[in-house]
Amino acid sequence: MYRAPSRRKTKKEVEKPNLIPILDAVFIFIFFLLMSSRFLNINEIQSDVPIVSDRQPPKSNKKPLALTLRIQNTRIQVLTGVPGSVRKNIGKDAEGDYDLRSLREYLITLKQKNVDEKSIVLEPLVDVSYEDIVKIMDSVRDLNKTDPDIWTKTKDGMDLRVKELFNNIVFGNIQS
Amino acid sequence: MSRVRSISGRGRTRRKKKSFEIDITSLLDILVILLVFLIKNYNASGIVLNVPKGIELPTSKSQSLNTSGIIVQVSPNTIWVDDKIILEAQKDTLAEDRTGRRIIPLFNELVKKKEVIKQIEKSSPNAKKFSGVVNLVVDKTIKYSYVKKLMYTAAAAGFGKYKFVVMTEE
Repeated sequence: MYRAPSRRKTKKEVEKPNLIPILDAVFIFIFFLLMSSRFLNINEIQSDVPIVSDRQPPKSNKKPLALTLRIQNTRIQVLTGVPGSVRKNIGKDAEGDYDLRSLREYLITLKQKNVDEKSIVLEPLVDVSYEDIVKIMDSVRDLNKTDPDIWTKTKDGMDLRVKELFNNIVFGNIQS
Repeated sequence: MSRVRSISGRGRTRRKKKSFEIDITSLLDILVILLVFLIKNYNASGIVLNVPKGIELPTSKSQSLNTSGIIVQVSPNTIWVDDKIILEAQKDTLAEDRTGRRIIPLFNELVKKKEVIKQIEKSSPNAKKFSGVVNLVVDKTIKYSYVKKLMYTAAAAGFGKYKFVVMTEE
């Protein structure tokens, strides 16, 4: 007896696309994009323009510290007072870089004696690179956790730990 | 025992669709990695600062970022103001004034920017006031003699505060 052919034979299997090679390619593509992109953690160092004034300075019994760093070819001179007198010379280390650790140690001792002082004047006399100037600015700006504690009194008489060394940086010779 | 199915019943069982499944495990792996990477590098300050090609920023321990004001980008060959090239070839002596302290195209552009900000300030009370801040995005190899000219030019144009943009040490 004749039987009609079954329809089961013509039934199509659902084809499942193989996504693995595509995903591999996408992964490599993303990895490449992330590696070639530049994600920078950007920050800033603030500085003010020096103000030249003919006015008489305010009368005060306390002498201004007038801390100045004169950056020379072989050393950094630390000057204080008006007119500035050299307090210390900081040389270079064995690698030919300025000995910023000694500079920092000396500035911490100065800060301990002048807790309220925040300003420092930089006077690079040689054509140092911008990178070196940023390093010098870094070493004079803030106190680290490893540095000796410096305390001051607030107006209310509370003790306050000083976190900044000489944070107000001014370039003294931009007009020369 | 033979199975007896009605004619209508036969059709239904044959047309039953198979569910279409995609294995998205690897895709999710990629997305998780991407998400972690993007979250790690997310900057919540909302400040967009473009560092043009040719500028390598010096590294610093500084942790403060409050960038506002005009952005001056300086590479060894080019100066940009807010991403617009204003001087190419740094050693162009014609670009400096007689004293050699002021960079004229930079000065002109900064004065123009300052005037625009002041005009907006006058016309709209809610507009940001002129802060006098200039952000210096300077390549680390540039010498102090040139940085000094940049600072002098900015000061002469009426910008009294500099912010040296640096890269955080990892």
